[in-house]
Amino acid sequence: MVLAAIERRARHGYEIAKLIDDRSGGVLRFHVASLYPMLYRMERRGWIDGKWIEKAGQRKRRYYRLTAAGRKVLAHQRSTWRELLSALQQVAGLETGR
Amino acid sequence: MDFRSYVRQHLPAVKVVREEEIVEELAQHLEDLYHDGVGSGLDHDTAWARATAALPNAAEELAGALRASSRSPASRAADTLRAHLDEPPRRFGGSMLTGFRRDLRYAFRTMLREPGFTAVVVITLALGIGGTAAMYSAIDAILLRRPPVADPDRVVNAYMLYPARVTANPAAGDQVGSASYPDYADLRDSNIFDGLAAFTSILLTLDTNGTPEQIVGQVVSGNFFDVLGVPAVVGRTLKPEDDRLGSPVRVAVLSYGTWQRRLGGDPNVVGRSLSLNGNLYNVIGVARRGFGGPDVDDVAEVWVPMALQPEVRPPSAGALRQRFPDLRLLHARDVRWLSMVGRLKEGVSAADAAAALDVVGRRLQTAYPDSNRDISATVMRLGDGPGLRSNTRPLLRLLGVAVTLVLLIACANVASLLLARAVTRRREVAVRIAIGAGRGQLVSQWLTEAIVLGLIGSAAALVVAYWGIPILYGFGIPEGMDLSLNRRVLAFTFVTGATAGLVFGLAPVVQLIRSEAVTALRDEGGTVASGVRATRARSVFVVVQVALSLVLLVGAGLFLRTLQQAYAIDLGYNIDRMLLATIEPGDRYQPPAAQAFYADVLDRVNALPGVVAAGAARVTVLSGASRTGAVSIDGRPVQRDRSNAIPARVNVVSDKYLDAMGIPIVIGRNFQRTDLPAATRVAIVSRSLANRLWPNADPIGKTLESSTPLVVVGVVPDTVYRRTTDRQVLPVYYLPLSQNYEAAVGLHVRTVGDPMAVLPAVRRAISDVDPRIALVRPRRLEDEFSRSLIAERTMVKFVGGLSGIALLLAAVGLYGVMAYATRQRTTEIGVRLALGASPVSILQMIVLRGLRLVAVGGVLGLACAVVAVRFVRNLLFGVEATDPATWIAVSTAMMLVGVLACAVPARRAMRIDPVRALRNF
Repeated sequence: MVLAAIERRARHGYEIAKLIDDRSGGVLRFHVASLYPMLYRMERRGWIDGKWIEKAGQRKRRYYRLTAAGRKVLAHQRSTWRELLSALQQVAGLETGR
Repeated sequence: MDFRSYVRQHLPAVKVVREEEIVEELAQHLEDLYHDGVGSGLDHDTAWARATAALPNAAEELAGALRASSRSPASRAADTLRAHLDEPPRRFGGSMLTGFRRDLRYAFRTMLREPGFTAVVVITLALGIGGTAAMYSAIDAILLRRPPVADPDRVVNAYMLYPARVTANPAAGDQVGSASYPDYADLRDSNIFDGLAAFTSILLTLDTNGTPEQIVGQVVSGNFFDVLGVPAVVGRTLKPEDDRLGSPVRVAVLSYGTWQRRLGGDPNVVGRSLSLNGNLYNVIGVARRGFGGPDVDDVAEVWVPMALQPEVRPPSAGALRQRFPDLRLLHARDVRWLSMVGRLKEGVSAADAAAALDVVGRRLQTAYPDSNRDISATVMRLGDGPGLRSNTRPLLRLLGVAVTLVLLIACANVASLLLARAVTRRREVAVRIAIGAGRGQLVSQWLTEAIVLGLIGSAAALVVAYWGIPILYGFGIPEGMDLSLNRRVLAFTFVTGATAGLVFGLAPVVQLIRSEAVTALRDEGGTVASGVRATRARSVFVVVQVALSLVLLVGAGLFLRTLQQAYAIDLGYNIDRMLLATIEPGDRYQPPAAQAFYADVLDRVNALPGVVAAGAARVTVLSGASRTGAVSIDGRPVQRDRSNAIPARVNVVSDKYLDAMGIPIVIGRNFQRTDLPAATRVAIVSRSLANRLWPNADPIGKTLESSTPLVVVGVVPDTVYRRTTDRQVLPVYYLPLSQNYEAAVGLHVRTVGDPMAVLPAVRRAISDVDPRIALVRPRRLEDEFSRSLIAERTMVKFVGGLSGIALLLAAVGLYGVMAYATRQRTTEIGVRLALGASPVSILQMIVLRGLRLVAVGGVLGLACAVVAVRFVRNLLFGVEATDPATWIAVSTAMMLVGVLACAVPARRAMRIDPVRALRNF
C-alpha cells in the first residue's frame, strides 16, 4: 500500500498516510508509530529512497520515491494479492455467477 | 507549541545515526496533523490531542523500531538477508524470544497433529542416534577421556624395548615390555624425567568383618602420586618415605569410589585400619575422585607402597618361588614385572626422552650383559603402548564409522519424509505467505520443527543407547570400565540430534526457497511440478541410503562368514564333553612330592565312572593364554640373538592329556610314566614343526634344540592353540609334565555325559588326596570355545544389527518414494489402464522404476564397499574380504528388499480403478 502510494510520484510521510487514509475511505489508517519504522525499513531494503527536498514556498521535507527494486516488489505483491483475493472471493462466494 | 521538543520528550533515548532528521520528520508529521485538524474546524486543544494521541503509547515501539533500523554492519547484513527472505526484521530480545516460543509451540502442535509421522521420524532418529551415542560412550571412555592426572600431555609410559630380532616372533616388529625394579631404578635416576614411577596391578584380599573379598589394587613406587600429580581429597597420598626398603610401613591410599562404597565416605577414614591379605594397613588418604590408575582401564581400589612387594605381589609359585625363597623381587634385574609412568621435563618431547632412554638402556646392556642383553628402553605417550587403547582403537574407529553411516541413512530417511510432507503442506505454506508470513519466518519455523524432532529423537536414542551399551563390552572392554550415559554422552547425543535436525530440516527448506510459493495456491498444476522435484530429491536420498546400507551389509556378511568359518574350523581336538578346572598345589609341595600328587589325582579321576580320559596341561587351549618358545632350525643350540630360531608354542602336559583331548599320535609314541626327570628329556612335536625342521626325514629320535636339547618321541597333527581365530598359527611342541614341573595345572577331563555332572566326584578325588587343595574355576571347554569367539560374535551382533536397521530404513525410504510417486501418477496410470495397458505391465513399470534406484545405489554402494573392506580385512578369519559368495548374497538381498518395497505401491497401482482415476482428471 505504501509502495502503491508513491508509485506515481515522490511523497512525504504525512502525504502517504493521508493518501492511504483517503483511498481506503478511512478504513486503513497509519499512525506515526507504525508508518515511519516501515518507511525506514523499506528504505534500508532499497525499495524506496528518501531525500530532504526544499520546494518553493514550503519547508524542507523528506520525500520518498519508489526505486526500481521497489517497483519489482510492488508488482510481485500486487500479483500475490490479486491471487489471494480472487481465491478468497471464490472460497467465500463473494463473486456472483457461481 | 513545539512539536520537535514534544517528539524528543516522548521518544526515549533513541541514539541512532539520523536522530535529528527523524525527530524533525516526526515533528513535521504531527504538525501537519495538527494543522489539518485546525483547518477542519477543531479548536487548538482537540487538534493538539488528536495529533499527539498516537505517540506516547507507541513511543517504546517506535524507539525500538528506529533503533533497529540503524544498527551495526553485521546486523545490517542480517537485515539484508532477511529482507531477501521477505520478512520483517525481528526486534530485540523479548520479541525474538516470542518468535522462538511461537515457532516452538507451532512445532509441537504440528507434531501432535500427525502422531504417526512424528513416531516414524522419532523411531528412525532414535535408531540412528542411539547407535552413535552408544559408540560414543565407548569412544569417550577409552579414547577421548584424559587420564585424571595433572598436565596429562607430559605424562608418558616408559617400557623396556626388545628389538624385533630377539623376540619370539620377529615378524611382529619391536616389542615393548615391563621392567625389573633395578632397571626402573636406573632409568628413574638417569634424570631424564621430572619423575618416573613404577607400578603394577595386583589382586588383594580385603577382609571386612570376616568376609574376604578380592579387590584390584596397585603396588606403586613412593613417588607415584607425585609423578602423576594426583592429590588426595582426604589425608595425604603416598610419599617416598612410605616406600623405604627394609622398614616398610603398611600404609594404603584408597580410591574415592572405594572410600564411598566400602567405607560409606567416612570423614575420619584417615587412621582407620584395613585388612589386606591378612595384614592390617593404615589408611593415610583418599585419592582424587575418578582416579583408578594411569591407564584408562585401571580400576585400582587401593594403592600400597612398593616396599611391601613380598607381601602383596610375591613371585608366582614354581621356579621363581624356588629362586627367591624370601619372595623379594626388587633386587632381581632379570624379573620384569613393572609398568612405568613418567613425567616429561618441561620442553622435552616424548621423542627426546625416548632417545635419552635408549642411551641409558644401552649402558645397562653393557653393564649387565646377563640380564639386559639386547634390551633397551623407550617411552610412549599414555595409551599408545600396548593396552586397551591401542588394542581397541582400530575397532572403535571402524564401528564409529559404521554407526555414523546408520545415522546418515536415518537422516536421509527423515529428510525424505519431511520433503514428502513439505509437498503436502504447500497449501498451508502458500496461504501463510500470502497473508504475510515471510519466507524467513517459515524457514525458522520449519528448522525449529526439525530441530525439535531431532531432540526428541535424541531422547529416544538414549533408550536405544542404554540398551546397546552392554553389547559393547563384548569387544573386550573390561567389565570394570564405566560406559554409562554420563554428561558428556548426553551432551553429545543432544548435539548430534540437533545437528541432525538442522541437516535433514534443510532439505524441505531448500525446496521452499527455490519454489515459487504462490503457484501452489493454484491447483494441481503447481504441485505436480514441485512434487516431481521433491521426488527427484528423495530419489537421491534413496540411492544414498541403498549405497550406505550396502556397505554395512557387506561388512555384516563378511563378519557372519567369519563366525561361520570359526565355528566350522577343525581345531584338531574335540571340545564337547570336556571339563576344565585348575589345581594349584603351589608351594605346599616340593616338586617331586607335587608330581606324585598330580599322578595320584589323575589316576583317581581317570578311574571315576563317567570319565573317558583325564589329563593335565599347563596351558588350556583357546583360553587366549600361551607359552611361546624359540626352536632352533639348524640343529645348533638357539643363539642368543635367536638368528637361528623360529617361534613355537609350548605346552607342558601329562601322559593322558593327548588322549583326553582326542589328539592322535601320528608317528611315534605318547609320553609315558617312565619319562622321569632322570631319563632322557623328550618332546612331542606338531606335524608342521616336524616338516619345518626335518622336511624329508623321520623326526622320531631327532634332537629338538630349544632352551635345552629334547629328543622327539612323537608327532601329532597341528591343532589350534591360543584362540580359535589365531591368524598366525605357530607350530607347537609338547613337553611331559613328569619332566617339567609346574606349580599349577589345568585338569582336562573328557566325560561320557555332561561334564559338570562329574564335577563333585572330581572334587572329592582331589580332596581325598589333599583336602587343602581346591579345584578352581571349573568350566566346560565348550564355554572356553565360545568365549574365544566373543569378539567375533559381538561383531556379528553389532554390525549385523546396524546393517539390519540400515536395510530397514532404506526399504522404508524406497517404499515412501515409490508410494508417493505412484499416488502422483494415479491419473496417468488410470489413462494407461483405460487405454488397455495390462495391470501386470503397470506393476512392471513401477517395480522397474524402483529397482533402477536400487541398482544405482547398489553399484555406488559396492564401489564404496570395495574401499571400505580394506579396513576390516584383519578382523576377518577364513574368508577373503572380496569373498564373492558374500558380495553376491548381499547384493541379491538388497535387490529382493527393493522389490518388496516397490511391490506394495505397485500392487496398489495395479488395482487403480480407471473410471475413478479419470473422474479426477
